[in-house]
Amino acid sequence: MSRERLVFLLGLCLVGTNLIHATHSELQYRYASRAVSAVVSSVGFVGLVLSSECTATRNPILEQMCACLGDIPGAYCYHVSCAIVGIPLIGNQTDQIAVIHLR
Amino acid sequence: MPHQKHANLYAYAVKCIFTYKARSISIISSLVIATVVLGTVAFLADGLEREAELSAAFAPDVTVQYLQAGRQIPIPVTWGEIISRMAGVKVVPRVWGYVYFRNRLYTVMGIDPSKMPIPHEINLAMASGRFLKADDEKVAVVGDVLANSFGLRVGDALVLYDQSMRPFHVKVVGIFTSDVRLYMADLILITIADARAFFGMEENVATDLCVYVEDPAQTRSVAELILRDVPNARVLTRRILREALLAAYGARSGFVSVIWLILLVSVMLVAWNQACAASTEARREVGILKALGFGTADILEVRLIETVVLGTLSASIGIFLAIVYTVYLGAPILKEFMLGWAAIYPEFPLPLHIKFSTLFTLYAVAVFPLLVGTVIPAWTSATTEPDAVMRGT
Repeated sequence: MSRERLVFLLGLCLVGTNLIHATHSELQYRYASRAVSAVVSSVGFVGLVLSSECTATRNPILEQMCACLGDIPGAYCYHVSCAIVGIPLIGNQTDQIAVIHLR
Repeated sequence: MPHQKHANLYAYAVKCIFTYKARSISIISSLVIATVVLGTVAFLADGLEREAELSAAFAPDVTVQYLQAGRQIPIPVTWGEIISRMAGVKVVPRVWGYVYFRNRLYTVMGIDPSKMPIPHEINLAMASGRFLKADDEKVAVVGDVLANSFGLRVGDALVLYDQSMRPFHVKVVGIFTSDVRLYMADLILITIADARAFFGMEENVATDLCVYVEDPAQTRSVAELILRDVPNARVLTRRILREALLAAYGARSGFVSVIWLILLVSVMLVAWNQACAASTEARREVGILKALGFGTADILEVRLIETVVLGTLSASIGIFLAIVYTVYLGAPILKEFMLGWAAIYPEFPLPLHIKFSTLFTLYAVAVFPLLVGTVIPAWTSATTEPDAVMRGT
């Protein structure tokens, strides 16, 4: 096979593969959004699991300078008034979940 | 045969790419690296933004919280009754809080299934079992990550301990599907009565109030009325939630802009490098081509094809590698930077979205600066007299 044909076919395959992935991603989001919309409607607004803590504390670059300990006097987060206790700066918590398998 | 002529020019352009190997490799490698980095960050940032938009799009029209000394405290349900007296307004209280297990936070949320707008499509969100019903007592629906972590199945009993370690038993009746993992991964959904009992809250308070307005156009005025009538209220409209989320995730992927700058500078340097290389070698080559009968337009076409092929090929390889890195490898290293603490969750789903617009932008960013850096020197050399070029004058 000549070089020019090889280059053309290689480009075509790569562009095609990229477009197929984009199409798959768009369709996947369209389908998943029905389940997401149903859940969010049913429970009201719910933050992403990512942001159940202050967004800044979850960022490894910013968490050093953001305490986000709203429940400790004077340790408020100055990025977002999230009012949620941050995990890394508090002591070990008691486990509050147990499971009984009934099968 | 005009098509044959263009095919020949294309063949010559490809030959040039292989002839000037060092130049081609330097352009392809720098563009591939830049496109991989930018593509990866763009796919992740688009995924985060998309999820944030979705979560806000189906939120209540207004969410009302109650503040004391600047901190959120339970809101008296009587305020909800006052708000619901407004025309076309429905108020649904919620109770939610957190429990710890091995220093991880899990969210316990209590809703009133008889009042929340639960659509029929809720079954799409269930991997097994069912959603909450109005007459349920001491039952729970849990996220799939939580279920997997604890080996939970429908029918199992979940024991939640409050702060004073008093046990509260609930039976698992449903598990959410992985499609909604980004929202429900760590969620334990129970009825509002159970949530009040577990958290030790009185009947006349809630954590927040979901306000639904019949006419969406009235949302702003309803929010203003709530602010006027309910002292110490924090009133969050859906629009504000959406803007706050997008700002938060935009800031989280804030270094995208830095990478954009790095990419642009690197591509411009590559284009400049190509232009410099073209100035001496290509001028001599152009002189020979013109002596053999090539026109100015033909030479410009060869250079354009060469640039488009190089740019498209580099961008395609870069985007393909970015897809492999994010979709199939899970974006190691970069994931921690983008998601931060989210990495504490096992099997955390990477919110990826490969948009057509992002794909075309990546191609444009790869090809356009190269074109700019190529056309001007190509035009300069193409318009020079062949004898002057070959004599080197």
